[in-house]
Amino acid sequence: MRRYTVTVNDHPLVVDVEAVGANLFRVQLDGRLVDVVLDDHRDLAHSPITPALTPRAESSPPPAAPPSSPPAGAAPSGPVRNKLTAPMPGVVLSVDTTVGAEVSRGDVVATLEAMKMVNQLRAPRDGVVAEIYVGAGDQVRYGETLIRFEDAP
Amino acid sequence: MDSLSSLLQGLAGLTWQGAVMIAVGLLLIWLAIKKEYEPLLLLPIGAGAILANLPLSPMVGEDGMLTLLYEMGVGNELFPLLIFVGIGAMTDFGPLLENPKMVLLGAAGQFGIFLTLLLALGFGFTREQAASIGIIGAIDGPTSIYVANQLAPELLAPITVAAYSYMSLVPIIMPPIMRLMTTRKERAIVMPYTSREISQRTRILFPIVVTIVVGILVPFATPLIGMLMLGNLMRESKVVERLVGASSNELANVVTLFLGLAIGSTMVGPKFLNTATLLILVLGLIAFCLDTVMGVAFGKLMNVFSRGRFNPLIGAAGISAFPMAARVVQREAQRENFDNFLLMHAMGANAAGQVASVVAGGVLLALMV
Repeated sequence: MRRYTVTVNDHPLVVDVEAVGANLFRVQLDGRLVDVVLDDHRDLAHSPITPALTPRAESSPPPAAPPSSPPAGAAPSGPVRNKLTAPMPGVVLSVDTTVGAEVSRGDVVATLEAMKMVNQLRAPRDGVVAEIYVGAGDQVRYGETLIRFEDAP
Repeated sequence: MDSLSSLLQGLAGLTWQGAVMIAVGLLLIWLAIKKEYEPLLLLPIGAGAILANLPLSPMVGEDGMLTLLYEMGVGNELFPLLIFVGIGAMTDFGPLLENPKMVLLGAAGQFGIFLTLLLALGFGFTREQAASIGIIGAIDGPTSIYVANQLAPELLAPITVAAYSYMSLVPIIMPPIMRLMTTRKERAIVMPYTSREISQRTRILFPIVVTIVVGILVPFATPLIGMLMLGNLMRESKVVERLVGASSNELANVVTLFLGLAIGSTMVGPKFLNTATLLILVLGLIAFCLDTVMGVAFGKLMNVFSRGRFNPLIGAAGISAFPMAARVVQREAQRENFDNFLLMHAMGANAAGQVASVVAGGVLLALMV
């Protein structure tokens, strides 16, 4: 998740952008959630990238809390986190799970090399692996979503 | 009969001290190969000790290879300084620049030096010897060699062996002290990574500014800090990749080999086998433990000032053993909560400890010379 302050006509807006996938972003603007898909028109050399906006239903709760409350999942009793994010910048060494695999909280699902140290990343919750966004060798930034989990069917 | 005795003069020249020192050399080699304790240094030191203690060894004495190596770079302090260029080229000060308050922990990690100095004075060592023993508490091999060789060259061998052996024992010595001094709740304090882009200009200015400021404040630390920061400047400038590669690989490796052999050759029986050596090994261990204790204690202080948001384990990383100390902190924190990644914070404290131990060495030299 990255937070930007965009000033429009002297009116500052705080925008939280979360990269869900390579071209899919979840943007939170004044409490409203918007899914943004970026389409790259490769056939036109200088074509602008036009984002497709899909406003979400107002009732849906924000999926991720703003950075002011990061200790989500810190205590086992904390709120259930559906995503494994990069705890620090580094290089993904291996992804040790597959989509659809059943995991329990604490299982090693990936390893991340940071400062020449291999760190084990463990599943934040029980469930199944819904999506994997990275592969071995990928350079990741702090907070980038690596794996999404969902309830076991 | 004469020819027989001249053929057997090696056997006749065998002394019990020599035999014991060969055994010590074998022990160091065993530690290096079997336990992988700082093998890069302990293996050459062990080999040097064996070669120097073989009866009538032509390796030592006038024009002996080991003596030549000693005079080439240990007696005049050249080798530890060359190693520092390599260390500077390998060290990333980014985590420290992202978190400048970690400097405090680097300073706290040096308390063991001065407490051990007082303790050594109590055991009847001279001022210079006590300072050289205290510097083991910097947990920094080249700094220990540099300081000990200037203040108490007669103790160089045991101090070097102690410094490097304890450096390799970081993952064994530190965790019990860290666990003893903190509560489970403190160890589980989560500190999210605070990302901040450090510009290349800052990264380049850092080694230059540190060299000039430290050089003016603590002139005796200039050789050490100057070489460390030269290596770092080359690394961050990104224009002399070949020099960076050479100093962090070829130069560092060759000098490590020379340094190890030369130090090993000073481990000759009668000079090494005495109670002073034993005391130095014990005091060095105490210095190391005190570093960890003071570091964690200071971490607890920062925890109080930050109203409970600072994980005191990070304090233990404020020593020079880079990057082992930071990794130990990371591992300990993760034992309590697998979601807690303190590595970057600990790396900041660790890099600060590296600079602080060099400054502490310079301060000791200024006080003693």
